Amino acid sequence: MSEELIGKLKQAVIDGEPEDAEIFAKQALDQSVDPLDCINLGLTPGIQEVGELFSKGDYYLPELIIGADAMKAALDILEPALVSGQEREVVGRVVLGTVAGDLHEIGKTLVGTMLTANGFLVTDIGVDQNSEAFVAAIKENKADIVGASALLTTTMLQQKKLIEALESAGIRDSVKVMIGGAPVTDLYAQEIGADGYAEDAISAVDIAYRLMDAPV
Amino acid sequence: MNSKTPDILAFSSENKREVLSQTQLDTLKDGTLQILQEVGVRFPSAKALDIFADHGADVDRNTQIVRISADLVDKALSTAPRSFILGGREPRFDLILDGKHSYLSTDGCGTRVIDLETRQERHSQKEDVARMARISDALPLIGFFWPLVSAQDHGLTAPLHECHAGLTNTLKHVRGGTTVFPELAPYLVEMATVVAGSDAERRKRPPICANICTIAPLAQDEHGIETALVFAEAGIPTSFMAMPTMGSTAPATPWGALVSGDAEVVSAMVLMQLAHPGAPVFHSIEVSLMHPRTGGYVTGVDFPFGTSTVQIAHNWNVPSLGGGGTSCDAKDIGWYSGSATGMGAAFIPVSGGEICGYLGMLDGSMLLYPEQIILDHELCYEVYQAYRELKFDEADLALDVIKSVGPGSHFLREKHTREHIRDFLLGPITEEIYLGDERRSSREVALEKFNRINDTHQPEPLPMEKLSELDRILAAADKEAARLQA
Ligand code: B1M
Repeated sequence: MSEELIGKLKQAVIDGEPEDAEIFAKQALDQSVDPLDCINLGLTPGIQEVGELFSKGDYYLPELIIGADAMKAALDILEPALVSGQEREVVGRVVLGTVAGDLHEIGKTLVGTMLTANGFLVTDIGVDQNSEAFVAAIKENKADIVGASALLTTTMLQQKKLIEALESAGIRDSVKVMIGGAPVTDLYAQEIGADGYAEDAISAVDIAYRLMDAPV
Repeated sequence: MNSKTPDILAFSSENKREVLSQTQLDTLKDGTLQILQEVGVRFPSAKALDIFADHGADVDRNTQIVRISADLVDKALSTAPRSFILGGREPRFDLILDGKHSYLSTDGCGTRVIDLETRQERHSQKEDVARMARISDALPLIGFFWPLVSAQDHGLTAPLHECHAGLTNTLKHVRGGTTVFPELAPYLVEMATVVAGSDAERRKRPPICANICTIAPLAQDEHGIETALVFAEAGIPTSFMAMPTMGSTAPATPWGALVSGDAEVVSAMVLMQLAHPGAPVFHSIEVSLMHPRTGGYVTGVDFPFGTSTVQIAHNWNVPSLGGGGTSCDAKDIGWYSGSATGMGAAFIPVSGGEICGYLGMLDGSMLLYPEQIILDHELCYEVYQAYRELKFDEADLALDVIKSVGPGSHFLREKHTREHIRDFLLGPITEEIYLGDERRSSREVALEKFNRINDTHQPEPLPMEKLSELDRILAAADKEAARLQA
C-alpha cells in the first residue's frame, strides 16, 4: 500500500497534478505511511524525472512549473507531519525575490522553479521586496542562499542595499548572495560584493550548487 | 558650425489595411469591459483608489482592486482627445497624432551597447543617449526620439538624464518620462517647460512625453501610475503600454493576450481622464511570447499584432503607439535581423499607428549596434518610397524627348537625361554598395555612414540660458534622488 501511494505521488509530480498530489499526500498520512519516505522516494524522484524530461526537451516550462507546484502541494501536507529530527534532504535553502521598486516577476519565478526542480528548497517572497523583507525571510527560513532579482537600472542599486542590510543584521557571513536580472552583470556582482551572478535560470542552478559547495 | 536638421518624413496612413472587422473589435471591447467590471485591475496607490472611489467605481481597499463599469469607462474616455500634438523644438518638428500620419520612433530603454571604438559590448551610458539623439536628428524618417538605451551611469535619475541628453541633442520630440518615481516627475515637467518656453506652450506643444507600462496581468505600478498622474495634470502626453507575454503574464493565445493587455491600458486611461479630463493619452499593447523552453522574451511572433493593436486603440478613439517596427530578437546583424526588420518595416504603412517603428536595436530591444539604426532607416526609407503618393501629368511622360530620339538610337545625349538622371532616389546604403569600386557589406557602409553623421552632425543647440536652467533642474533632481535613496 505504501509503495503504491509513493508511486502515485511520484506520478502526480511527473504529470503535474497538484490536486492529486495533495489527495495522495493526505491518504499517505491517513494510512500512516512515513512522510519522509513519501518525500525522498516519491516526490524527489518525481521532480528529478520532470527535470530530466525538461533537459531532454520533452517537457516545456509550463510542465516544469506545474510539476514543482504538485511537489509543493504534497510537501505542504507532508512536511508538518515529519517527526522532530526528520528532515527532508535538500541541496540548500534559498530565499528568492525581486527587489524593492521592481515588479518584474517572470525571471525570478523561473529561477525559483529551476532551483526547486534541482533539489533546492525555495521560498519565493515575491516582487517589490525591500531589504528588511529579505532579511526577515532569510532568518525565518534559515536560508543558505539569498537570491535577488532586479531588472531595472534604477532598482539594481537595491541589490547593493540588500548586501549592506545583511551586514547590518549581522548575517552576511551565514548567507550567500546570488543576483541576476537583465541589466546586471558579473562585474556588477563583484563590485557590490555578491557571491554569485547568473545570466539565466539554468546557470542560476550551477551557481547555486557552487555556492553550496555541492557537486553539479 | 551647426547642422540643419532635415524635415521629418511621415508615412501617410492612407494605405491602411484592417485585419479586424468591426464585429471582432466589438467582441474584444466587450471582453475588456467584462474584465474591467468583473475581475478588475489592481491599483496599489491610495491616490488612484481615491479618484476611482470618488467617481463611483467599485473599489476594494484591501485587495486594491478596482472594478469599473462599462458606463464609467465610456464616460471617462469620452474626454480623452483623439488627436493632439507632440511638440518639437520648432513647429516644423511637431508630430500631429490624428490617424493620418505614422511617425517613426527609435527603440527604447536598452541596457547594452556595442562600443563604437572597441566594438566590444558594454553597459550603456548617457553619452550613448546623446550620440544617438544627434544621429536620429539627422535621419529624416525618425520623428520621435526615444532614448534607445539607459543612462546607466546615473542610477535613480537615469530617466531624467536620458531626457536631458535627448532635449539637448535633437530638435525632435523626446520621449522623456520613463521615470518610476513620482517625486522625480515634477523635474521632468520643469525641463519640458524650460524647453517649451512657458506653461501654456508646454501644454500646447509638449516637447516630451512619457511611457508608463502596465503590469501584466491586470495590475498597475504604484510609482508608474502616480507619475502618470503628475504628467496628466501638466498636459504631458503618456502612452500606457501593456506588455502581455503569452504563456507567462497572459493567456497563451493572441486574443487572450490582447484583451487582457487592453483592459490594463484602458483602466489606466480611465484613471487619467477621471483625474484630469482631456489629458492626452495614447494606447499601446506589445504582445510577446514566453519561449517555452528558456522562458526568454520573444517578440518575433508570427501574428499581425501591430495592425491589431492600432485598430484596438482607434476603436477607443485614442492615438496608438505601435503598429509595425524594425525591433527584433536577433543578437547580431545578419539574414535574420535583415528579414525581421524588413518585414516589420513593411507593415508600418498598412498598420497606420501614430507612433511606431522602434528603430535601432537588436536582441529584443536590449542591444544597440551603432550601425543598426542606419540599416533600419534604410529599410524604412524603401518602404516609405514604395508607399509614397505618385503624382505626374502628361508633361512628365517625356513625350517630346521620345519623339525627338525616335526608334533606335539612345538618350545619353539628351538634356532631359542630364536633368533627371539624379532624380532616382537610391537609398544611401545601396547607392554606395553599387557605386563604389568594390562591393562592400551593407554593415560596413552603414557604419561608415554612422561615423560620418557622428563626426559632422551638430544640431542647433538650445540657448545658453535654457541649458543652464536644465542643468540646475538636473542637479536638484539628483539631490532629491539621493534623499529618496537614503
Ligand atoms: C537570484 O539570482 C538570479 C539569477 C538569474 C536571474 C535572476 C535572479 N533574475 C533574473 N535572472 C535571469 O534568469 C531569468 C531566467 O532566464 C532571466 O530573467 P529575465 O527577466 O531577464 O527573463 C524573463 C524570463 C523574460 N523577461 C521578462 O519577463 C522581462 C522582459 C522585458 C521586456 C520587460 C517586461 C516583460 C516588463 N516590464 Co520592463 N521589461 C524589460 C524586459 C526587457 C528584456 N528583454 O529583458 C525591461 C527590464 N523593462 C524596462 C522598463 C524601463 C520598465 N519595465 C516595466 C514594466 C514591465 C512590465 C510590467 C510591463 C513587464 C513585466 C511583467 C511581469 N509581470 O513580470 C516598467 C517598470 C515597472 C517596475 N516598477 O518594475 C518600466 C520602467 C517601463 C515603464 N516606463 O513603465 C527596461 C529596463 C531598462 C533599464 N535599463 O532599466 C527593459 C530592459 C525593457 C526595455 N528595453 O525597455 C535572467 O535575467
